[in-house]
Amino acid sequence: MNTRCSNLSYRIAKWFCPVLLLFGLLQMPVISAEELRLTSDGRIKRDPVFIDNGDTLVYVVDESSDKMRLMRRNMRDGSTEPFHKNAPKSEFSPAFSANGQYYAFIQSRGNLSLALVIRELQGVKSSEVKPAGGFSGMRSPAISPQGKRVLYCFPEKGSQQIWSVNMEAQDRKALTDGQGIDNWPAYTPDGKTVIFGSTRDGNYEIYSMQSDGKEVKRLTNSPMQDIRPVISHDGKRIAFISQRDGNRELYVMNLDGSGLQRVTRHPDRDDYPAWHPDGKRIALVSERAGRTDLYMVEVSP
Amino acid sequence: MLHVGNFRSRTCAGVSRRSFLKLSAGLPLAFSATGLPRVAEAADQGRAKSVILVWLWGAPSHLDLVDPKPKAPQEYRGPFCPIQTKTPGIQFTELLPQLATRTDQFTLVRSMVSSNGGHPGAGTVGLTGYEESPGPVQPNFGAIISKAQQRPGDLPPFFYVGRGIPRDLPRRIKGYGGGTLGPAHDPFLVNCTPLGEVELPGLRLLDGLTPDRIVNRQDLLARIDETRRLTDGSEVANWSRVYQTAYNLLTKPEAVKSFDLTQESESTREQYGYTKFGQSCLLARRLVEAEVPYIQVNWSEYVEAMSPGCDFGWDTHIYNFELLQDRHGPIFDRAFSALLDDLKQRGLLETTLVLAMGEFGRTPKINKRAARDHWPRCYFSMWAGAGIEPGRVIGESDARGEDPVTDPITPLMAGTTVAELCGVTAQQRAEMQVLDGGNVIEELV
Repeated sequence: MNTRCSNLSYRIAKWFCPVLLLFGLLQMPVISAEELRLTSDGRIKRDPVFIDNGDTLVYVVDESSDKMRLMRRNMRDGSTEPFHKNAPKSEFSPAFSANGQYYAFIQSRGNLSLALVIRELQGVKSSEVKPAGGFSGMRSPAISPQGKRVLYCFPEKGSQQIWSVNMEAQDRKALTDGQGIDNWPAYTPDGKTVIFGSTRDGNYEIYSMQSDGKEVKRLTNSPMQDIRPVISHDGKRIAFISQRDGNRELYVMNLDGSGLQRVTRHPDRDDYPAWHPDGKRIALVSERAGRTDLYMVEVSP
Repeated sequence: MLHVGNFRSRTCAGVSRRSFLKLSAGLPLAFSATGLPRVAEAADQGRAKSVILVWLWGAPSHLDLVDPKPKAPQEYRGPFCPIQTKTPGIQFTELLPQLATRTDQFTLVRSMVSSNGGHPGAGTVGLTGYEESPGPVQPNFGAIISKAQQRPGDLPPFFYVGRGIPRDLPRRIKGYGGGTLGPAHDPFLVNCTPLGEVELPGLRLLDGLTPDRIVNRQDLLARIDETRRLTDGSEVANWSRVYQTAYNLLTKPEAVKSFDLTQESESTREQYGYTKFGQSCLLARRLVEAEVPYIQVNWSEYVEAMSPGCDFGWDTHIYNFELLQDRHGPIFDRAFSALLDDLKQRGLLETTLVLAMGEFGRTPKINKRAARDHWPRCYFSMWAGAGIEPGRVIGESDARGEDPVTDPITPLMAGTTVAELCGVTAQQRAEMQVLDGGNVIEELV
C-alpha cells in the first residue's frame, strides 16, 4: 500500500511538477528583478534611442514648462548634456541612421506648426520637411538603415499616413493610404520591412509591411492600445507598449507577432521603449513614485 | 528674487537640498483683497467652505476622455478604447484608468454648452458666465465667492495656481478676475514648479529682499517706496494691496507655511505626481486647509498645445491623440485622482467643492490633421464634494457627442451652482449684481 502510494506520489510529482514549473515560468516577467534607473531628476521624458553602439542614450526632457529638449546621456559615466547646445524651441522624436551619418527630429516652429529636420551628425548638411499651411506637424521620423530615406507621419484629410522622403527632404511618397492614424514607423536592419502602429482597424495595433508599403500584416490584436513598436538591432524582435493588462507595460514579441511576452509589471506607467544594441536590454521611460525617469530592464534572449 | 522660508526638499536621489518659497512680483494683476471694505454682508457658509476649480484651459476633448462614442463612425470615435468605470453603464476611455475607478467620488456632467467658440471669449464665459462684450466684464466666480465669504485670514481669498493669467497667444482673457466687483477682487497668483517649489509672481517687484530683511517692517516699507519710484502710475495705484498682501505673507509664518509643499509626506507628493499640474493640485489642497475660499488651478497659462513659449494647454488642433496619450491624459488622471483621494481621506471633501472643466469641448469629427478643433456645442464638467451625491452622470450627449440630448447646462448655471453651494444666496447675488438670470443645476444642489 505504502509502495503504491509512493509510486502514485512519484508519478504525480513527475508529471505535475514540470507543468507547475512551466506554468510558473509563463507567468513570470521576462525581466530580471532589478530595474536600473538611469536618470533621477524626475522630469517628464520621452523618446529614448541608443547611438554610438550603446555608449550614448539620446532622449527628450521637459526642460521647462514650455519646452522639450533633446539630451544625450553618456552611458559610461552617466553624464548628460543637451544634444543641441542652442535650442530655443521644442525638439523631440529623435531618430538616427544605423551608419551614424544622419539624424532626424521634430522641431517646433510656430503656433501649432512643426517641421521635420534631417541633418548630418558630423557635417553641415541639413534639410527639412516644412510645416504645411495652417496648423500642422510631422511625427515620428525613422531613417532607413542605408541612410537613403526618412519615414515620418503626417495627417491629411483626417487620416494620418506614413510618408517617405530622401535625405534632402524631397521625393515625397506615401507608404500607407488606409483609414485611421498610422504612427511610429521603424525599419528592420535589412531595410526590407517596416513596423508601425495604426488605428485602421479601430484602435492602436502593431502592423508590419514591406518597405514599399505592400503586404500589410497585423501583428497584435488587443482591445486596448498597442503602441510605439521598436525593432531590436538584430531585427528579430519587437518591443512595444500595451495597455492590455490595465496600464501601460512593456511587451516583447517576435517580428511576426509570435512569442508575446510581458516584460514589466508595475502599477505605474512604462512607456517609450528603446532597444540597447546588445539585444539584452531595453531602456524605457517609467513613472515611479510620481516621477518620470529613464530606466533599463533586461530581457531574456 | 525674494526667498522666503527655509524649507527642506528631497531630490529624486534622496538627497536633501534647500528649497525656497520664492516671493516675487511684477504683474499688476495679482493682488490681495484683504483689508477691503465690505460691499455685501458675508455669506452664510453653504455646503462648500472652499472651492477648487480645476481649469482645463484650452478645452479637452470630451470624446477622448469621459464621453467615448465607440459606436460612432471611425472619423468620430477616435482611437482610444472605452473602459468600464466604477459606475455601472458609464464608460471613460483608456486614458483615464485611475479616474475610472473613482467615479463613485464625483458626478460627471456631459451636457455642457458654451455660447462662445474662441478661447479668450469662451474663457470669460466659462469663468464668469457671461460674454465679455458688451462690457463691463463680469466677475470671475472666484471673485464673487471671495467677496461674499469675507473670511478673516492672512491669505488672500481668491487664488490662481498656475503660471499666469490664462490666455492664448494674442491676448489674456478678460474674465480672469474681479470684473465689475473691481480689481480688489482679482486673484492672487501663485506658481508651482514640477518639484513643488512655489513662486508668487505677483510680488516680483520686491526683487532683492532677503528673509532677514523682511521681518523689519521699515525695511519693507523702504523697499516698496523705492519700487514705487521705479514703476509707472498704473502700477503704483495697485501697490497698497500688493503691500498689504506681501506684508501679511512675509511676516506671518503660518501664512507662508501653506505654500510649503515640503511639509507634506513624500508619499502624498508622489501620489499627485511630480508635475506642475500635480503639485499645483497639492498646493490647492493645502490652501483649502488654510480655509482659502476659492482656488482656481490653471492647467496652463496658454491654450496652445504645441507652440513655442506655450505650456502645453489642451488646444489640440494638431497632435490631439498623441498629446492626450503621452502627456495630458496621464498627468490629469493621476493628479485629479490624488486630489479627490486626499481630500476624502482628510475629511475635507464634504466641505470642499471640486470642479473640473474647460471652456468648451472639441470637434467630434476628426479634422483633416487627425486632431480635433473647437466645439462649444457639447463638453463636460466634473463635480465632487460639498455634499453632491457622487457616482452619477448628469446630462447626455447624442450618438456622436455633437449636442446634448438633455437640457443643456451652461457656464452661468455652473457658476450659479458654485455660488449656491457656497451659501451665496440669490439675494446676495442680486445685491452684488452678479450671476443675473443664472439657474442652479438642480441635480447638484
